[in-house]
Amino acid sequence: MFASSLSLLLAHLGAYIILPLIPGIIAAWILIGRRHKGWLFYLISWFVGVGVLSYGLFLLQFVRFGIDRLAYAILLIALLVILVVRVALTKTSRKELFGTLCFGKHTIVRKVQTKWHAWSAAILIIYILAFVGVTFFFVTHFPSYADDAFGNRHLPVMNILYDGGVKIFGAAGEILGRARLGYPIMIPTMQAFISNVAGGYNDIYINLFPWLSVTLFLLFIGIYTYQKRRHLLSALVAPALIISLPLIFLHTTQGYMDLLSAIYTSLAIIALYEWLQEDGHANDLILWATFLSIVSYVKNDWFVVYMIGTVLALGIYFLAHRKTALEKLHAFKKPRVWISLAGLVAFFIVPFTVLKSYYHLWFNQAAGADSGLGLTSSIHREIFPAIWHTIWSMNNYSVGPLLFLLIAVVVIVRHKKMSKQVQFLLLAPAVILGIFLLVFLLTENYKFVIDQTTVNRVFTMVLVIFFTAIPALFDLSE
Amino acid sequence: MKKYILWVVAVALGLIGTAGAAYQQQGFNQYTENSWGISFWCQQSCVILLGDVGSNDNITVEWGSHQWDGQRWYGYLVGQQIYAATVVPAKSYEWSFSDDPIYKQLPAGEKQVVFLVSGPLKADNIHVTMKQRSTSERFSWWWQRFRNTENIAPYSINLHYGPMAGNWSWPILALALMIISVVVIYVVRRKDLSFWALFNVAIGTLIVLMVIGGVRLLVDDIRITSSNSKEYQSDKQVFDLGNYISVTEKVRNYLDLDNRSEWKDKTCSIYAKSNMDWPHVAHWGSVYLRPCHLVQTGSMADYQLYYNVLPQNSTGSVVLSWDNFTLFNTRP
Repeated sequence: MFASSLSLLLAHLGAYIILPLIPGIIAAWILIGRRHKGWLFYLISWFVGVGVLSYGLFLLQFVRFGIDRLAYAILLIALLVILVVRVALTKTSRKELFGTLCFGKHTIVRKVQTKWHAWSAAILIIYILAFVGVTFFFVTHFPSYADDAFGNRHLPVMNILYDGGVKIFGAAGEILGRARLGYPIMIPTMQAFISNVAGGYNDIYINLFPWLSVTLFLLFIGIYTYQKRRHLLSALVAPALIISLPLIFLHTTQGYMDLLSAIYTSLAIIALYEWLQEDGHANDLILWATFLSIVSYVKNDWFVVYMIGTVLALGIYFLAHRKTALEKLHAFKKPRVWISLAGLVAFFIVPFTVLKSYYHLWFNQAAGADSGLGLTSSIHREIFPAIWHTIWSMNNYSVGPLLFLLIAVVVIVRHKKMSKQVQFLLLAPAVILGIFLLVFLLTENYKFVIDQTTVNRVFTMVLVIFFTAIPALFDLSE
Repeated sequence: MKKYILWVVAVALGLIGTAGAAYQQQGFNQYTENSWGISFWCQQSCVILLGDVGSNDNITVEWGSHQWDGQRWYGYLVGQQIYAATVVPAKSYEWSFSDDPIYKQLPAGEKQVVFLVSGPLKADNIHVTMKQRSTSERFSWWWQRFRNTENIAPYSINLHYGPMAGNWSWPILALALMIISVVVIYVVRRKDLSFWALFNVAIGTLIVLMVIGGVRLLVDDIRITSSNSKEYQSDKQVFDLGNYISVTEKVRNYLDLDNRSEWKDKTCSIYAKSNMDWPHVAHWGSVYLRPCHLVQTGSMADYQLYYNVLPQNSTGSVVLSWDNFTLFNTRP
């Protein structure tokens, strides 16, 4: 359980990279075809692959498969069949699909504009690499430490691993009851599979997964921003700001799902932003739905807020730009969009929902009325002094709230000079923040503000989503 | 207020100056002051009034020779009430009023500093100095607080206190620096700057400060990772959690719990008792002793594990033991 060696490390690291990537590439071809290529395609594929592998293995448990190589092979075959059908129907050439795997030629050095920019970029690169290096050292040298990682995440991994799979319809609550009720077991199913393949449960290397998620996310936003702005310093700002959030270090190294949820929500918002562009493609919409569906049972209590926040922000955006809305909503006339959306819901959301229904569990046991966290009869205004104190007297968010406020003021006042799509990137985290505040104001969750626990994680993750948008909102090349 | 002690009005009113002494004092069996410092012998409760806080921001106590069994604090006299604050350590020590949580919560009004002694305590040549820091001392104090480090603790997943710059938290310092940078840029380049350029300066400054704050935290993270890694490599001590990882590993190895084929369709039960339910018993119950499960009573368990506690009411035979743990097999 606590064994560490180079071969074990390579086995776990390799498994965490390659095993989700292969189904991810096939799923990405099915879902978005040739929309992205090169590095971005691989990174999107990995994140999609984590979802497809986790939810796919879970789905196979309904028909009594284990969490072994056979289940993985069946999943790959099923995906390949869907891909073949898709290629045949859309008449996509193999050459076009395989072209997404090729890397484009980029020259970074000539894009650095001034010596000042070059030095700043060099410092940020060293800083980001140092963070990635230290967190890697941490997740390869220490066993798990944080409490909820044990009860909510690693316990289901152990149960599934020792049972050889998920006992879907066992005695009442046999599988769910042994984990904490209401916490989804899709990511633990994937981790149990990877533990099975890579030589058993390892309490040190299991934390490679959160580390890898964060590292690949930082790489994604760096490359995405660079491809958009063609400006190296701008590409490094969002990763540097995210790792500067004080709580991120531990969330990168422990198996909490808060940061992973925020990462998928950020990816979903970026996909939606791409769709809202004038050359936005229906595939971006499908990618948004994919990422949001994956969040659904990564951490389902937060999914409610992220999903409502993103959709509400889109609604507000469409209300403000009705003309654009009409053009964009044409995408829904395409049957392929409806088929894809229905497929995503059926694959990602229906199975666990069915299981919860079987066990008479509400959507979210972790934060619902059943757990004593339902609506209160009064409005808990006392959260505001507590939040105010946290922002100024502690270092949970560093300078993040000030930055958020200042940029919001600039965007609101200068909105006519900014593209409307860029404004959406601020609107989405702002609406998500607003919903979280409403949740804390109107439900028993207010106690998590007063006792300084969940609230700090919640606002940190909203800042992660916001920082992803900073290079678009604030032009560093000026 | 953790160490809040209300000293009654009578003590405050009883502070009567002693002829020839610089400080007012009360309750001492012997008390003298000279150029070497204060010497006293206090049998029970004694008080020295050191004077107004005024513009002073720190206090230093340098001990000469001393013998004691008693306690000593410094505190504040506000109106007619004395508020005891921090225990004065036995070694020479300097501290700031602004670091003191009691000081921050005192009612408004003139505050005097008092030295409180609960005897028996005999001391010779104590130097007590209150002073205002010079600019260089203040800078050094700011820097020292900025360098103060924070360890990883169970609450760290939710809370981070972070470095301070003097009395200022990092966000307050950042706000101040942002305002200063905007003012400086405005003064220097007033003619060719637009209003919106100043906003850009403010945002840019905040981004830079956010990154500097992050680099500062990363230094902490490197220190924590490096020092704890050495401890973990040597005896599997993880942060503040003692050697329970070693204990867990020994129990797992003894019961061969990592051998999944051996444990297929088999179960076992363990009763675990420790000096700390969290994390030891909690983590054994969730992950660390799987596939065995924890039971609440020892008599119902196949094995009993005692860690950092005496194995009271244990049954069965000892199958594994070490410095601070014992494993019993209670199977017939």
